[in-house]
Amino acid sequence: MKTTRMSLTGNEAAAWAARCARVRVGTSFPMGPNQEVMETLQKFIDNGETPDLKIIIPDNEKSAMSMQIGLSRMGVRSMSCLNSEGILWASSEIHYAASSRLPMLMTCPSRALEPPTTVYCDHDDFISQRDMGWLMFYCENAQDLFDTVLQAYKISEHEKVMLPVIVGYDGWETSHAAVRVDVPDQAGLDRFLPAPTFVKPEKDYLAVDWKERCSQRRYQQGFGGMQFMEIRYLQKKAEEDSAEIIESVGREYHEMFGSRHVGLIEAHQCDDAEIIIVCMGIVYPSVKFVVNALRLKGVKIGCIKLRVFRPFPAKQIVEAVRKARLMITLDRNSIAAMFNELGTALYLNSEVRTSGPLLMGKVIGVGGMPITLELISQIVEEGLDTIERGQAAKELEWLPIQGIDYDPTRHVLGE
Amino acid sequence: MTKVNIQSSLADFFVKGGIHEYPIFCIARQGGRTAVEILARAFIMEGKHAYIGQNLTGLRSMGTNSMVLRFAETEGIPPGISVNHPEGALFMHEILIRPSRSLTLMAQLTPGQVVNQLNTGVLMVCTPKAPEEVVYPKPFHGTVATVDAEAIFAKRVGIQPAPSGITALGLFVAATGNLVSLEAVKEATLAHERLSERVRQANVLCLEEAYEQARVARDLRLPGMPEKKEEDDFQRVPDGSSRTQTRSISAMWRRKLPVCDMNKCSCGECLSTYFCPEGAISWQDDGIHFDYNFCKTCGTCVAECVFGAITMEDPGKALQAQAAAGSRS
Repeated sequence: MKTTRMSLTGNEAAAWAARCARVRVGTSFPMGPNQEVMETLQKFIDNGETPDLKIIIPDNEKSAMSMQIGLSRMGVRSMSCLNSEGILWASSEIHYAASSRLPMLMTCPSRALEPPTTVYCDHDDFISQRDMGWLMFYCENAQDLFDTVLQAYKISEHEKVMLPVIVGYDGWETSHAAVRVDVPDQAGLDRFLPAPTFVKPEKDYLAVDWKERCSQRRYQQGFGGMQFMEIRYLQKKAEEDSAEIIESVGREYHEMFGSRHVGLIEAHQCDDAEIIIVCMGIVYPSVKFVVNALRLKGVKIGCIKLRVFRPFPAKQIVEAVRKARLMITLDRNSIAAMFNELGTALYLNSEVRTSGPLLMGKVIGVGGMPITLELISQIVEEGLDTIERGQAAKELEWLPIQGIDYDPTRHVLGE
Repeated sequence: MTKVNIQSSLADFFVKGGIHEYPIFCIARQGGRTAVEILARAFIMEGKHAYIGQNLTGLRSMGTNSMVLRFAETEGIPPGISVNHPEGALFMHEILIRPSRSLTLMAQLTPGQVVNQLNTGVLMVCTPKAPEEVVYPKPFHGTVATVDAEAIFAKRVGIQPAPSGITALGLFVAATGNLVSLEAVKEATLAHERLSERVRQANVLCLEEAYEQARVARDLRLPGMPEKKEEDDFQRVPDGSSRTQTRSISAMWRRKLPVCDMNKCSCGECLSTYFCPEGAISWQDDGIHFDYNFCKTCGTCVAECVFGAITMEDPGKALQAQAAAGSRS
């Protein structure tokens, strides 16, 4: 298999993945940090490299998502790119897409939600969509992003899944940093991901007589009413069952292209670890670096990267950490989503509940606060103390908090 | 479990993993961010792995831009903006070695933090001075290299202030020796599609010249200059609740300021369309008002104004004109 070594920023990698997946339509409302994706795709069009690709810049993010719903209904493979406030603006359509069981893909270079005003990165915008029924992936770097987007199309369009996918990556820190990306050759990728066959429209949507359709109050076709609950149940079941598909597509991708960015989680040095750090996104390479450094000194420490947030890989993580003495979650979102999910997962496993690891949650890097190696080492140090004491000083803690002087009755935010 | 010193373990691992780390600082609009991206791409083209940790320096795009370039032969470079074990630093303007506080306000990484850490290695400064004359706050022993990147760029392309970021890469290649080849940097510059063909070629000539002109003094000792009192561009308003700038905090190099002649002005398009990149134009006191705290004097408004009402004037005259317009109402 021939691969090309390229240097791509995260956004460029997303665009290249879309190109390699032979996406027909890209749509996004341009804002920082996502605009580079459509810019790069437009450059492909300008250079005449992608004759089938069209870029549509809509009025707003909600239009972008509506457009994708229509495109997906017509069996067109499409990609959108939304982030921060834009993703909230598109929320109603995001929910609609999942409940309509329409396969499509959105990339989300995370940026914090205002106010206070910021452009920096945290995962709040991504996590805010966690209950919308989409499959959710998060990437550590541009290579991960490239591999994940290609797998995600295959997973999304699988007949047993038929759900939209959101692929998140850290805004600026991943999206604007050029790193090395190995791009497999197009022939191989075409074999892995053939043209979409997910919709066989009984109606040619382009040739519908819209005048006729609009002229009378139509009886709503399709399911509804008393079937609603069952339909929704099937949707949630498909989401749950997609874990297997994610694994099998990942295996196939790994066999074909040799990438390590596959599967639900990536466990590193977890087999005999006493402390295991769970994280996602750009924190992971830093944590892995600290783990590798400390392993040389004989510290039994490991780390887990959450590649998939929905369906939440609770079973796999509990399996990986059951023999550890302490699990630390590093959440880069203000709702400590991983901490909450994993707390539940640990409690529900009766064996782990009684003899499993302690859980210590840290919220870091919110609103672009730098996640330094010092910060991670400080957390590891606290973890070592916690093991000695047998009890965490605080279950959930925000780091670093300096204690600024803020009075909501006097200071105005968000202007 | 045995007690280990985590900090020193990380330091060992930086060396073991062969990870090189260079903090790089530029003034906003100097083209430093683009330059560092090109440098990273040059490393990647040579088969290495690279990562740029970068700062967005809040408060629009003013002030300094701080970046950390890390590269290694193998995968596993820790991302992030922090500086751990710098081998050297590149200052794209000498003022950045001792920046005023306003330049680094809200920065995730400040030049000051790096200067405190860096007392040996490779110190690269864009300045007309010779390496021996570089003023550095702390005692320093190692390689010191300088080049007048601004002059080199300004000679070829008459833009003021000179966006000399890519030119400064010539200094990086010359000072760090064999870390990256000049050919790779030139190739990466020529392949950088965000710049026009003409700009790419001009920059390649500039960086070649900077490479040749770079003055590199190895094994040099700089005496630490005592810290001057920090120059503060901010004043507190009387109730102490907020601060205001007394002079421009972003464009210390600007020569002319835009002024609007209200006798000619008749459309107000400059307000309704977003053609001021800094959003510095507003309607105040029955007139077009420029926020000189943020104006970078790019001249876009002058070029766009249909009625030719906006002109670039000397700062003194411009400030006077705006003050007069304010008192008129």
